[in-house]
Amino acid sequence: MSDFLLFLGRFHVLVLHLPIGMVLLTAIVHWLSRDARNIDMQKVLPVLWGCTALSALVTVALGLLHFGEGGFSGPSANAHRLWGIGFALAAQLVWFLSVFNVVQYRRWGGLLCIILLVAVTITGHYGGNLTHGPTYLVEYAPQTIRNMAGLEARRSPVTDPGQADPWHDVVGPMLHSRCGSCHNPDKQRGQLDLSSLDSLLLGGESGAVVLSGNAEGSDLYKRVTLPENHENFMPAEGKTPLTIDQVQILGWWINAGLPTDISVSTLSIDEKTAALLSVELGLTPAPVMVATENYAILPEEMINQMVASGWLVRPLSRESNGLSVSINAIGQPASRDMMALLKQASASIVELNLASSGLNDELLTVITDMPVLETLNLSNNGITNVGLDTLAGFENLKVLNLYGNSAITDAGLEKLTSLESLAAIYLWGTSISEEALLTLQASMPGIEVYGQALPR
Amino acid sequence: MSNRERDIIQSLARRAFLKKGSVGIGAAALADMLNSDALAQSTFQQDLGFLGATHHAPKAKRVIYLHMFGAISHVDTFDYCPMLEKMHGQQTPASIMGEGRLSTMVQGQTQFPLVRNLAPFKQRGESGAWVSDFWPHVGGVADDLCIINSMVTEHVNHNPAAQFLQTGFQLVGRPSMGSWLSYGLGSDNHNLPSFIVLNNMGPGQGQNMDSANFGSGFLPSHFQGVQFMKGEKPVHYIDIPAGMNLQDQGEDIAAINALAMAQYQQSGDEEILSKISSYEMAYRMQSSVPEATSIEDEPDHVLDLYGPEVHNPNSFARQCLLARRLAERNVKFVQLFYNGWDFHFSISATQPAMSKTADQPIAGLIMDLKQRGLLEDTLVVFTSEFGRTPYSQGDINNPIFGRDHHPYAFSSWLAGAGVKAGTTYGKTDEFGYNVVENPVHVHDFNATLLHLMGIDHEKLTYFFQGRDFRLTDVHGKVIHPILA
Repeated sequence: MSDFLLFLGRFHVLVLHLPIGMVLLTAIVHWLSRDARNIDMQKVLPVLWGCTALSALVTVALGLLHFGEGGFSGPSANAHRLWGIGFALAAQLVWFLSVFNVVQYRRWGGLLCIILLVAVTITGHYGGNLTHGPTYLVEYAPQTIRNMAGLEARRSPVTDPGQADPWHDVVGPMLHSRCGSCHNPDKQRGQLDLSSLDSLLLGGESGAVVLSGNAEGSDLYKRVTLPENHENFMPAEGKTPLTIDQVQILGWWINAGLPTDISVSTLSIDEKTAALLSVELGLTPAPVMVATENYAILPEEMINQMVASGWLVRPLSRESNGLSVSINAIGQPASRDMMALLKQASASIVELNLASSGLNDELLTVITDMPVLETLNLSNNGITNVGLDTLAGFENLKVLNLYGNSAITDAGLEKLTSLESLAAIYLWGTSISEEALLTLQASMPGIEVYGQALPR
Repeated sequence: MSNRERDIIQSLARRAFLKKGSVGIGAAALADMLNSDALAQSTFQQDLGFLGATHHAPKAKRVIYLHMFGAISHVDTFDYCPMLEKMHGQQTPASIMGEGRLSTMVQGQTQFPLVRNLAPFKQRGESGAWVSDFWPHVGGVADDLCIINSMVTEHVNHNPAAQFLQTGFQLVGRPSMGSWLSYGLGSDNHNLPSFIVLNNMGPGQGQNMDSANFGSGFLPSHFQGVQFMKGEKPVHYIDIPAGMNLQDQGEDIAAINALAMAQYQQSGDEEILSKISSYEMAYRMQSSVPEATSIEDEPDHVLDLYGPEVHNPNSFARQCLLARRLAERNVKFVQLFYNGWDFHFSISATQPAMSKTADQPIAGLIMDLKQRGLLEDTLVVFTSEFGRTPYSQGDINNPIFGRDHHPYAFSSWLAGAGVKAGTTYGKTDEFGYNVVENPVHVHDFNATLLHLMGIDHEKLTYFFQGRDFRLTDVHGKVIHPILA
């Protein structure tokens, strides 16, 4: 079938809502028109039936094109097709009666309406099964209804990850929720049904999809780890993909030899996998990215203002709204106004590079309080001991670079001992003595001191 | 310029801005430049590149990439193979050689006698990494290095292998790593190119080096590496000519670019936008380059780190110093191609001569970066396009024997940002012939470098001729064990 017809076929899922709405509307108008006060409404009935009948015909035609795409098999697909065609034919008959044989229409109209409404409901139900999978409707139904639908009892919720069954509690439900709408007994895209372990092992049109013990070689695993814009990436058509954690669980499960009908605790699993399983089972909350929580989002206008004044403002990464700020043209001196902008953005600046920017103590005091700053490069400036007082409020400072500030002496170094987060400090090119460096290293054994006296 | 002309140019520039993103920012700057009021004010734009923000937090903000072009001999430098000493002169076992292809230079050879390590190896630093006496100074900073002895490539001749390393493909036409980074991450310095290349040739055996090794391939050409020459004036004609001043030059460039923009409007050739942005960059470089390349303000204790040759403006040592100065000015990717390592004959004489010119400058660079705190967020890469054969090329009893190209195993090292310092990763067999443990394919190497820069190598792509391309083609795995 040509791509263009397939393209048209996909409009089935859009257009099908028209006959549903039309038949409902027509039935209501028909019912209202039985009242003598609404007798005028009878005049529009032929038109409404015409719309219903034609939209039903178009929908059936598109549906047959859509069917041609393949992958629709099983009882729901056949029933949907037969009921749909039946509905469309019946609608033509009613339209015919309403136009050419008003007497018969008056006699049978009510019954015909009911028949059509029932038919459209049944057709829609089977269609829904095709789209969402046959168990979608009764997934969360009370057990009595689930029994009627022939579904087994829901598994009791797992409270201890060790008791979970790798397939029935973890991987099975995961595949069901992410893949089930296209790979179920009724709608087997690529002839693949992922609704049960047996059907999964049967594979699809290109053969086996899992190789026990070899995730990398398993088509199922490959398809979910391709780049998202790859044509073979699954799930297709922009449906919600597996999360990174779920992909890891899937990989673990395949590599572990597709374990099922045993509890996780009998398998030897590492801590990381155990944690992933626990999150997937909803027993522990997913870990939150720490970084993004800590930093204020700087308004774009503020960023533009900083850029225009000569700062280069980079986001730390896509995972964080912290900022890394440096002079856009190194060597250009930082002005007081520029420093004032830094102060305003202090809740977002995590890295600050002020190397060779003509700083002196006075300019530095403009940024007295930088609560989230972790990396500060002040190299090759004119900072003296006095300026170091400014750093006292930088409580998260981890890396401090004072290279080439030749006026800093031992007295200045003492002021830095209050910086509790410090992990590395660069002191080459200052006037700090060897003794003072050794004292600093002794008093703060956890930090890396880089200086003349301590060549590391 | 009449108001009418100015309006037209500004509207063209604005349109280009909407169309081309980062290039257009240059064009918008041009529009500002044409506005004499704006020329007086400072107008900074920042270029965050195609990605805008990295995929994850980068460990490395910039790279200094030392490519020893011609290929150093891994078995004489970083891959210690005592068995070569024991079996010197004996044939390379057939089981080791297998059926891997040989270069045309030794295909006619019937004898493949093993050659001993040509310099004694010693364990260096606290980490005890093996480094030969050809590299005593680099051995001195061994605790800062992560040596990879299990590098593997697929190509057996220089330019294909170098292009494979730099662009991920053996044929000319794909962007080099520096271009990918410029395209992806933009620039951290408004006044300097973000990808600068320094070429040099040492006293060894040179090879023709293709400029495609730092080309931009199918990326717009302003992403290609900008070459700085040897000598006192690394960029030609950068000085303002007598009788002109910077403002005159600025107006000249603005007028030329206005014409270029008009032509772009007619032809739609996007390379014209590259040209415009290059002219703008050249204009800004007239101020920034003389300052960045002058070493007048370098104190003796810093110059001494790089060895005596640093006073020679044509030397590799001077270029190492220059690389540090550029890194210090936040140039993202500084690449040094040091040519002369192609020891097909007389390796015993030329190899020590060559290493001597590179050893102290490179060690000096590491130390200088470290003292300044730059090693914290600068990645130093040292590699060749492949290694050299453990067996002799030519008659081993003739003193002019050499070593041929060897793609099956070679050595590289990384230092600085995000790298596990003081480690040696991967192993070759006892002859240094094949990798037996933890192979690092060139694609893996590149994936790891991008990872250190905060980039997911699968997600930095460019759509060209109907498909997305990337540096690592469809391969590459980040080598996590070497990351800190």
